[in-house]
Amino acid sequence: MNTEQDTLFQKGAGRTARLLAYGLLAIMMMAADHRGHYLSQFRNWGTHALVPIYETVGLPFTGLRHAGEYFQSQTDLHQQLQRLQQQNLELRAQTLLVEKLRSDNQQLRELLGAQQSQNLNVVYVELVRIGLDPYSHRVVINRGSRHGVRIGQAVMDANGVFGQVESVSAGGAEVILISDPNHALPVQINRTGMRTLAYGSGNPNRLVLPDLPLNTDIRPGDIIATSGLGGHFHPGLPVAQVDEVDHSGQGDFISASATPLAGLDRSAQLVVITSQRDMDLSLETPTTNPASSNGSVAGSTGNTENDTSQAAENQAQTTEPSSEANNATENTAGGPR
Amino acid sequence: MKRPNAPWQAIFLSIAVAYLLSIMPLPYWLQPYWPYWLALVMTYWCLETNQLMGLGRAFLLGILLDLLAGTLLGQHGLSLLILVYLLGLFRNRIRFFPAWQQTLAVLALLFNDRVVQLWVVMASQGQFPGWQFWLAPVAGALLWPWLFLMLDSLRRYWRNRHQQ
Repeated sequence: MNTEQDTLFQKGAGRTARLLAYGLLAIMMMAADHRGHYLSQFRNWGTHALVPIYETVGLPFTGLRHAGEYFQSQTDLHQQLQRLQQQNLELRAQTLLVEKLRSDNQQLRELLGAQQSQNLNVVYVELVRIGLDPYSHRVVINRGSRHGVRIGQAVMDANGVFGQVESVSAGGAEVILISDPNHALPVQINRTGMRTLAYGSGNPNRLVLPDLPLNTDIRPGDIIATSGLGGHFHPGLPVAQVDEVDHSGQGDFISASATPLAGLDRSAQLVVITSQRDMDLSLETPTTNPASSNGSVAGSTGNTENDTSQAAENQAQTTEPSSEANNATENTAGGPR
Repeated sequence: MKRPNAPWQAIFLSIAVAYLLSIMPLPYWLQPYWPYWLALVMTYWCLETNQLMGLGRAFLLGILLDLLAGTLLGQHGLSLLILVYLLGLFRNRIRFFPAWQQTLAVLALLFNDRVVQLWVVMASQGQFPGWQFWLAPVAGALLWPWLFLMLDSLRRYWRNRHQQ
């Protein structure tokens, strides 16, 4: 009895000292992780090492899903097959139309002397980890740099933009969802072409567009898509549908909320868009001031100016995980919100 | 009275299960109610043995959870560190409480832990995460008696196997 009590009481002071030391270490680690991303290498390594664990944890769930598929009746499967065949036929017909449009588009671009746009290359990925901390909207996918996934690439599901690759290791990658409160996405309203930013709200079924000018033409039902500004996303990827416009806000701004088209809390099968945006910039040398070159072509599609910024970024070899999101976050800090 | 060492297998198994439970994919509506499994399991072992009382161990286990859960590196490290420190101060009392009082003590510890995590969340995200933030400790405390009985029988099972 004595030995234990003695050690306990003697250790009392040392224990407090160690509490303070470890506490300080924890705070320093959090600051480093939050501010400087100094620990991203360590975190990448850790996430990479842990991917097998996520897959193991997910096994029973995939197993259940497969079992469910196995026990589907034959008529159900037959119906499903028929429906899929029909859908396939429709999609193929649409693809033919798209091919026609693409060649038209290419000719027009050649006439305008504008950049060639490239095909989208995608990597098919599955979620291996979801819903960990409800306050950080991140998921892990099972493909990494070995498969061509890079930091900053867009992640989509069948219906719309899902998120953006935030960190990547050889066999896995971490994706920040567009609903993360720290994420901002450059978007435009499809109907009017007006450009703005869509911020995450912390709720996977809601995005907010907080700083729209008073005279903005925006209505419930409008579809918003990526604008391609910032250089990480291809322009025109569908993002969300506006469901509420709030004119009552104070100041010179109105705000709107939108529902993401992607099933941020449902989808398990995703694609990462891995094709580089047009890299070779034959029109202008990238060293010229991008702003001035934008002015000359701003009227065309808005595509060229993105290319310029992208090329400038590629030149600078940025390693910042999501510069556009970071910039936008800093904007919010000083903005009207 | 020296506390008998608990079999390491039981400790490892229960902590591994706690990790798996923490990173299980969950439907969105269930997430706020999902208890802090690792804290519950750590609380049990801290009450019953000395083996997990080390602050360094608690810190490392928390860092591992941060890596697994994708939270800020150090958030759960700090939270488990403080939890184990407090358990070191109060466990001789908590250990001999009747079940309902022990449950209340666990509730208080979990709430305190939530406050610690609230600091971190507020500092890093800059906004209050919503009232659902306080549901997890309640769920954890409600689960505590059953978890206690389960881990107790696990510990006994392994100890008996050792003695044979």
